[in-house]
Amino acid sequence: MWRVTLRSEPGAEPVEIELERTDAAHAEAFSARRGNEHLEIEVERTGPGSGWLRVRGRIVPFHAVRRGNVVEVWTPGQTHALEVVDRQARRARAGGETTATDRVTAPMPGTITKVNVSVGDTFAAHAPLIIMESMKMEMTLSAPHAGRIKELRCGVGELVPMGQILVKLAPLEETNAAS
Amino acid sequence: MFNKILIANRGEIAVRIARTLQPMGICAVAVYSDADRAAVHVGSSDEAYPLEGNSAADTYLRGDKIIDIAKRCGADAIHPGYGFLAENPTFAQACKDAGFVFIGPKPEVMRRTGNKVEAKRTLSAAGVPVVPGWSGGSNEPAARFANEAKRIGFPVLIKAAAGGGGKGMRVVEREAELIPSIEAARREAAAAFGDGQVFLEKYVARPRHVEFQIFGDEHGNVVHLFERECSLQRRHQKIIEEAPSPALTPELRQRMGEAALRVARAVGYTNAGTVEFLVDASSEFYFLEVNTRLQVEHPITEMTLQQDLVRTQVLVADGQRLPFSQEELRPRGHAIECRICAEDADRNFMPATGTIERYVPPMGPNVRVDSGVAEGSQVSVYYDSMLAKLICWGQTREEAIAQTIWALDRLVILGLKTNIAYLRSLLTDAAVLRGEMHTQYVAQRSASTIAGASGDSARVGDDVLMAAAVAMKDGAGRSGVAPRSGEKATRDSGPWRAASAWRNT
Repeated sequence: MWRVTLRSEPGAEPVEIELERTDAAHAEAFSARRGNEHLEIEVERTGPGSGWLRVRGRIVPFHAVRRGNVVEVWTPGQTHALEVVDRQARRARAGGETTATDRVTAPMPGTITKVNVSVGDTFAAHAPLIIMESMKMEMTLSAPHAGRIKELRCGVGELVPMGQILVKLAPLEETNAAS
Repeated sequence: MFNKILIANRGEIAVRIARTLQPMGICAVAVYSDADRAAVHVGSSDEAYPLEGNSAADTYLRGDKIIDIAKRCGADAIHPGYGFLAENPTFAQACKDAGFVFIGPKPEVMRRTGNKVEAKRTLSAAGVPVVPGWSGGSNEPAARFANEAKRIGFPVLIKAAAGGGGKGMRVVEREAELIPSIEAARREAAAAFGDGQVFLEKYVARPRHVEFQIFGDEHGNVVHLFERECSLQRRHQKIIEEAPSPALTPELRQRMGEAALRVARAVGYTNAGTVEFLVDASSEFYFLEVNTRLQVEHPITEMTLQQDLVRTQVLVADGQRLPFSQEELRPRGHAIECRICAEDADRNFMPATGTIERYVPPMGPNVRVDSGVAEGSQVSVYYDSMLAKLICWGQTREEAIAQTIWALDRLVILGLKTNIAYLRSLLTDAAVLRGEMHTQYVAQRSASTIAGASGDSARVGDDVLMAAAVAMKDGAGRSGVAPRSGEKATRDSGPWRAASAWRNT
């Protein structure tokens, strides 16, 4: 018996799948259980993470690669990134998520081409704070709300990875309280 | 005939050019940046030389380095591909001065047509219909633009005089947005083309983009190779192109073909080029620009005419006559090209970077894949996000669409986000099936699609879960823990090839 729990997207119900090896003449065969549902599947492998399944009489080619706790699966016409759920991953998620309004992060990897603000500057909501470029495409990063620049963590010409914090913001209330 | 041609480009187009040169008995020379050391275009060449550096400005845009390599390796011609130096008359002239044949039009023709402002003026005089607009000098005060924009009437379009590919282009709806948009467009144009000059044009609402392939030789012959419909665009960049256009009647096709030939003759065009037109809702057409290069979407013309445009470019550059006359060119059937890009359709087509962990292109009698990537390829921030082009042919438009969907469904790219599902969703869109597209259609459709633009939000079925489980079991059974994200990838580290982090490292 072999067991794995997968989640199709963040927030979705985790699905537990069990594979039980059965006998078959020419292929690897499993009895699979998904919740209360039972399926007989046969597998032919063409390479690591690749092959085809026979499910309900249909041939389903597949390719899959794993990156950390994500398994990326291709079947004809569909590519899905499934999360491999384990206890550790669940704990990490419970503590980690906050809605970040106190920062502007790089939405894509790229180069900073213009910084319109310095530390201490106040700005209105939607003010263009930083301009960056990736694959020759320019993008303006605007303020999510009115506020003041607390910290500047990038400079013109710098190459930044996706998700890097570029500026930290303080809301205007805090600014008023401080002055 | 040439013995050795240097391909001054990278990615799929460099590979595609080599595929034509090699069977012609011509040695294909590649150049590459540091990041491209192991790129597919290097492996597809016969000889390859480093450009040293990574950014386009340090590598593929360095005409001096490229000409130096051409001298060292003994090339007799240089093919620029598209983008980079392809429409740079200074480079074309420098090639000529150094004794190399530049495979493209003459530098003076590139100058005449490369500046969109000048091109519009010349061609309007030659009787080609153009869009009303205004062009200032390179340092025109922004206030002057405001006056002219009011005269033309909002919305107006800001375009880069030296531009192409949507770079430096902005639609301005209101006067208040004009000045910041001009600044941004100038900055983008200066960064992309080394020339910040911009101009205004009346914004034609919901136009189609229809372009004609032209070809000229040095014996005074010019022909057109019919049209390509390129209305499906996101951020002014084409994503799906087809030939023929579902919008042209035989009569309109004939008139536009004649206008394209008038353009070619007016500027003395030689080699391959494209005349772009806007077609409005009442089938009026306007000249947009001439692209003095091989286009990204040239394969759909190749498929419907059964001609190799790169081969024709080489023959014409060698001084030979065009291998076909206008009368001999009869398009057959319908061809569609999809641009496969590393981007996230659900996040406003944001470029994605990373390593291609699995790549399996579809194959079939009417399927062609022009690709610049393979398994293990790194997709970096330095260059364009286009990975490959999928080109399919059918007897009719319906068959070509069905063939394309079949092929998209069988194209495997794992390791980074791609627009494959999004392209598929466009090909099942009711308006697209009816052939009713315009250049803003993609943007409008994205805005009105609630469940994300990718079309990939379908419930994950049993097939997918079972495939994942089986593959996981495979991995768990044969190696221990899967490598941590960000760890250095090695090609043969167990059944789960280690993936480097999504971000560029």
